[in-house]
Amino acid sequence: MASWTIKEPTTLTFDMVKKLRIKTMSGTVDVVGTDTRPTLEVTSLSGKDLEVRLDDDGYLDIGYLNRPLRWTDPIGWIAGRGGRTSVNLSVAVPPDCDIDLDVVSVTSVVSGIDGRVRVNGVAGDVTLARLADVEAGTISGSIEAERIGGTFAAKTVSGNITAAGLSGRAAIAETVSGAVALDVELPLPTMHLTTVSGDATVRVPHKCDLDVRLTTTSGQVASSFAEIRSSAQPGSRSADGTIGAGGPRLRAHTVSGHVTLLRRDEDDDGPGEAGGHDAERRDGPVGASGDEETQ
Amino acid sequence: MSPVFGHGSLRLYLLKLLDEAPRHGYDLIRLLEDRFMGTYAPSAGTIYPRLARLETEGLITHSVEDGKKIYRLTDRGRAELRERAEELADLEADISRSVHDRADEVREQVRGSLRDVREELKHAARDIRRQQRHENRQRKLGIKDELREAKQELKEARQELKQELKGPWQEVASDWEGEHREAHGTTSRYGRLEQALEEFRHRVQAVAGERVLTEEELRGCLAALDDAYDRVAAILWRPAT
Repeated sequence: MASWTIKEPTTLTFDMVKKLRIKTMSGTVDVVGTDTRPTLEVTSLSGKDLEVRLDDDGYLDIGYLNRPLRWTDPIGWIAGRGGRTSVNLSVAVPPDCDIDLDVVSVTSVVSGIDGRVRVNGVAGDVTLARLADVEAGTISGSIEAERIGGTFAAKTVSGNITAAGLSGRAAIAETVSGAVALDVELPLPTMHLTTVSGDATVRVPHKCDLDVRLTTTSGQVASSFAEIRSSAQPGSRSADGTIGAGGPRLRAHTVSGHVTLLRRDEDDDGPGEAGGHDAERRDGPVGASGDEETQ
Repeated sequence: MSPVFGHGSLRLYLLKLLDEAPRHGYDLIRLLEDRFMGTYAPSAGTIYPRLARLETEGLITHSVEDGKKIYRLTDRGRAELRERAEELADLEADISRSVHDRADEVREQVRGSLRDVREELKHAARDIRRQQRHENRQRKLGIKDELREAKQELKEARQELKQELKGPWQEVASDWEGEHREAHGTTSRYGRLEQALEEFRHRVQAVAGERVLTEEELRGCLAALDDAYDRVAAILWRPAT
């Protein structure tokens, strides 16, 4: 096992990294998947010394390891009880590496990783790009994700959750007061959106198969698909229906936020997403109902 | 971001890549691209002339396998690489510094495009909600309109009925008017009679009032009045009392 104590901006390279774990309090963290030698670059540092540990199995630990973060008192760190400890660091690791970030008020970027990614933050914004399976949670920080090929699970209290180019198995977004906006390339087998007061918006391709159920307690439910029928009872409004052949499940629930299912313009659908046969079958009822609306 | 390679650096880096293993030109391009995480993608046009120059300088050599040129480092090449080890370390540091730049670039790109997506979805959702509200309102207004139309129809029907009834009623009314006028005429003749009686009384009073009547004169006058009454009563078919 090798270990380093970093007191000033520096660059370290490693032979092999299979799993990366970072625990910092404030500043920035960048993790980029690359074929180059694994590299840690500390561009600025204040407060406590940063510790780096690499064990023989390729498990790389970066952060303040001798005093583990106490998650019971995150406000304490934000308010400055954790001192002026701040670090800006960038790490390049092989794409198949597993990533685990436990951060407080840290702006983070994770990009180009095929391994499992987990980001647990408090106040900083999280940016995720070109990942497979990812699980991200913050309190007030926003979560932004683009091109996620596996399971995307995001949870915030007040931060917004925005994702585009999702093409994996599942998308799960939960927030209290943040807004959720998902733009999916192909309907994922499972899509669950839950908010309390934030709006939940999903956009799906013009032609797709989808089983939809949208519910809200006091918000408004709207959909640009004629197949989706809305109904209202005292204390609950819902819209459900089957688009195309059904299958992939979209569930969205809010308490007071609006729920909207949007349909991408026909021209914006990528090539080969729906066969010509399917397209014909689905165009019929859609066109007919479109006429109804204009009457 | 500053250019990744300063003058002569690409040449050095090519030597380094060939030191790792013999490779063909396309491999070198792909490796350079990977190592700079897509930020630097050399074209074939920049790589092949450099490889040719390195070969004429005797730093590398090539063999042809499956119709492809495989380049490998010569001893002279390895010697040059050793001499410039320090320079190479700096270059690698430069490359690793670009991790941060790369991450920044990713962040900016993702944020920018997602900001657009978010705005787009927000506006589209708002439009749809507005449209739906409008449709609901139209539906409610539709019911109101029907009600208003029904009222209007009722009003028109009532007026038509009035018009239809007006003709006969007018005839009836004019009949009544004629009868009334006739009746009024009768009254007026009776009035004239009354008026004449009144005048008669005044004229008698005017003659009688200026003198003291004798018994004889009075009797004569009363007899004349009785006589007049009898004659008037005879005209009006009234029996005398």
